[in-house]
Amino acid sequence: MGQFDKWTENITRKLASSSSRRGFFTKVGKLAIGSAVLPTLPIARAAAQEGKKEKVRGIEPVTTGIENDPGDITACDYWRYCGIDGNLCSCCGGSHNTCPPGTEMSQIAWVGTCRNPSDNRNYIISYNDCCGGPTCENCFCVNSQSDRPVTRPQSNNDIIWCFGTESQAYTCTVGIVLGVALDD
Amino acid sequence: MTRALVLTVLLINFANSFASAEGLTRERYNWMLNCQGCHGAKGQATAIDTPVLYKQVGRFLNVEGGRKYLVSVPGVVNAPINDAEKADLFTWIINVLDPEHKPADFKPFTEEEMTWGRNNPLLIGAQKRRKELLKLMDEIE
Repeated sequence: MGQFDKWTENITRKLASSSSRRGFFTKVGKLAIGSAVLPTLPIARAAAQEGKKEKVRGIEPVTTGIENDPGDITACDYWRYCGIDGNLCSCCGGSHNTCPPGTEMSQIAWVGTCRNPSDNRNYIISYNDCCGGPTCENCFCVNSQSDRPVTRPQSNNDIIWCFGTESQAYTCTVGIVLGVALDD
Repeated sequence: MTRALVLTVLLINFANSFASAEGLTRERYNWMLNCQGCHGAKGQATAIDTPVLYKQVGRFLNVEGGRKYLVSVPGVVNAPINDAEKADLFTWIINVLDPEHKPADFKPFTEEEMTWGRNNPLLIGAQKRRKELLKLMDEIE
């Protein structure tokens, strides 16, 4: 037993004489700071964002499958949604241009233009609200291209356009392509 | 089967909307961007008490003061397009939405008329004026 004590004491003393407490804390500190800094690097942040986006929305990307119509219709950055302010019907049982079952499309709408990245042309988009169902906030987006102040109500996206429908309760919004815009 | 049919109709609509846009005139483009949101694609919507234009708007040209009324209503004077384009748009509206009531001696709208409308907007009295004109129309029709 005495020999074991002596052996342990020797090892401990050797270790103590060849290392410093400050050195140990420096290493621990470096590790702690490193762990904190790593996620702030651009690559790490982008990766985290990508994962987070899917997890929060819980909806797989959906495309129209139509040529010249790129993008995820359940994402705020889908090209047709450049002026949308509201909930996407494509996340609520409808699609980019159809209302969810049980809701009714507003007779009137506000009309703007969006650039299609596949051909770089501007298209005329009609933003119609779907009305009469429960509010669906699975994908809420606030984009503002072509949006004008409420003093120009015909071009304002803050207005709930549930008019001419049985119910004025707002559910979600669709973006319907009306045609190719002309050059100004 | 129904789902497939709906999808087909949607695809056809989509294709049509992309295709038909190729022949879009400036007048129709201005109509789509500035008018049809509230008036509906064919000028028939009444959802927010917007007057019906389809088969109606030309009637105003047959009574005295009707032409001046049309160029000075709020939706027209506030539309963010220049007066020359607005005049062309107005002529287009008459020709497309209500050719039946177009007077035989109809002259296209002019830039000067649109400028006059902006300088004399019916911002408050539009509804009252409209009723007076409708009464006149009923008397002559």
